[in-house]
Amino acid sequence: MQDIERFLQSIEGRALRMAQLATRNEADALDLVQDAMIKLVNRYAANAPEEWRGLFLKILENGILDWHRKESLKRRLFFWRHEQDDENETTSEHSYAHQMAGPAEELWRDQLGERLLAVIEHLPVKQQQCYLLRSWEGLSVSETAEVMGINQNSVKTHFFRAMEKLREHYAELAQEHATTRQEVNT
Amino acid sequence: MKHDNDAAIQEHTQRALNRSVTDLPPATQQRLHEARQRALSPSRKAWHWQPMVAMACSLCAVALLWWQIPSVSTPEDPTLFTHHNEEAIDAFTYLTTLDETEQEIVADLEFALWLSLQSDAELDDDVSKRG
Repeated sequence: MQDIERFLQSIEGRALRMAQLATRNEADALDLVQDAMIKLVNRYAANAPEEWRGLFLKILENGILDWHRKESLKRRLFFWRHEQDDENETTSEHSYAHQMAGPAEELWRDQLGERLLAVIEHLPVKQQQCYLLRSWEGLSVSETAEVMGINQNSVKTHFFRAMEKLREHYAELAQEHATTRQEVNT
Repeated sequence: MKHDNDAAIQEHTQRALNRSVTDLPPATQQRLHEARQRALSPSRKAWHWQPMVAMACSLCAVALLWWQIPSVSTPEDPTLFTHHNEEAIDAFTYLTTLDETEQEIVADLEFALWLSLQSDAELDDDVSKRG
């Protein structure tokens, strides 16, 4: 197996999840990942393998941000179609609350993670991608700035705002869990 | 500023994200595999050259047509056109070198030429009226 193929295989799943969280659509996410793969192979296959990760993430981020620009334009042009989508989204968020009924701690942990992912999914795209690159991909502030094509102060601001929202939801979820546990015990 | 829950939040989200990658449905994994193969396939790279080759061919065709179609503004005999221009410029240059007396002589000669042309024309008119 070629080095570049091994690299793509190692990153494709994570890339797909990042794109899925940003687009909330598997087909679009797959297209974005495939485009990033094609661009990396066609343009940067000759580069040093240690550069591939940064380049791939940069291409993917550009694709995600472009997708969002086009989507927001579509939303403005065809606003009547999206009102219905938003209603459906709210319903799916509400259905999450029902899954919280499980009393087991491990199940709660899993559900907490899932619910935090749902919060990440609904963050503004730059906050979301900043959080994923910093927290999940483990990039530094300067690396994140380079990948996203923004300055380091913007990275810090986006990350801080994302963390603020997650803290807010985490506190609510922890409170909810404490109440549920108390009810089970009594 | 770090908060108490930050580490727990990051741990929970990382765990959930990693699990979501390992638990990708087989159909999605298959699609990812296909996307990777498509990106790596040499036929895709070759296909990338096709638009450039097509563009080069069309440019050649346009260039050929350009040379084949004669230009409307070009005179039929370009050498004649140039020759007349050169003569006029020479005459003008020569006239500027003449002194006043020579210019008067040239003017008199031109007047004499005009007068002879006039009288010839009058003569032709008289002949045609009588005839």
